[in-house]
Amino acid sequence: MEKHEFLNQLRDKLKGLPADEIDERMEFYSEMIDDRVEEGKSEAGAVAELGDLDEIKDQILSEIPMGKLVKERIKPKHRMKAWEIILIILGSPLWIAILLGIFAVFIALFAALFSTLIAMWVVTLGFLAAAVCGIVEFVFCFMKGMPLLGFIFLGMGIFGIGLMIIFFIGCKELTKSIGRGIKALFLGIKSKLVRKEEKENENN
Amino acid sequence: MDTQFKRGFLDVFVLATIKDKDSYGYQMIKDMKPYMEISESTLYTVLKRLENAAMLKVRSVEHEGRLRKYYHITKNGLNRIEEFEKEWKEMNVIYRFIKRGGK
Repeated sequence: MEKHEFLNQLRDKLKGLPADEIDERMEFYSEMIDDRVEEGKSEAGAVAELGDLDEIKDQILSEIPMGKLVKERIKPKHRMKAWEIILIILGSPLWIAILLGIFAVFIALFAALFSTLIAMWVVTLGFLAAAVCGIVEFVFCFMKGMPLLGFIFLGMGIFGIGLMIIFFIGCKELTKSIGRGIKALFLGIKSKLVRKEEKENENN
Repeated sequence: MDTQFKRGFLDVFVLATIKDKDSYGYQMIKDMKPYMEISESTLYTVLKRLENAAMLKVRSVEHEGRLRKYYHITKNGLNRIEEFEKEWKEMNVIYRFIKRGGK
């Protein structure tokens, strides 16, 4: 791929970003290519060394805070006509309520997810507590001269340890997966914000 | 490696490349290459972060009919490297302790 083609494609993929961010990065990548070419590499070779365009886009998106993208997205691209402004103000009870509703749904989903996760960790701790109690009771029973009962408690305690280990492994994996899922979700939202911008610009 | 930890580590690495003399993007990547591969996007992010933290300064220099950005370390940047050297000494003490305990 030639340099200008690479830069155009990259600029395309970053369309939703604030203009100053795009320009700065374009300059940076342009310089990177020029320096490599100066060393003797071909343009195509230099561009290849920069990596996959989509990967670059994903990395850039993950570094830019969501707030900046949202601000850029809601900026009016053309001067607003009077009737558009009035319509927005009049309709505000409706769209404010809708936005709050969507926001509430997101909060509820996150809350449900995290409370489930926390509950699972609590269960894990519960098994640990049960195991400890079992072992303590085992010792007490022996001291009181009831060895058989003691062994029953010991058995329950060991069973508790087993369950705790299983749950612990499960909780750890679940926590990691949720962490990864949230990161992917954020990246997906940012991509959508950028892509819609592309479509709008094409229609205008 | 833990992300936050890696970030701090990368910052110092980039600063180190301009500790003794100014450098530019591609040269920095080449200098780091024997030790670590770093992508352009990552370098850009680190440079931006360092600039915002006033640990380096940027200036554009004319080169072969185009503008090339040169990076210059500031007092803050030099302090950060010193800080890192202290942190490293402490970490090394702990590392040696672990290694000794392993025997």
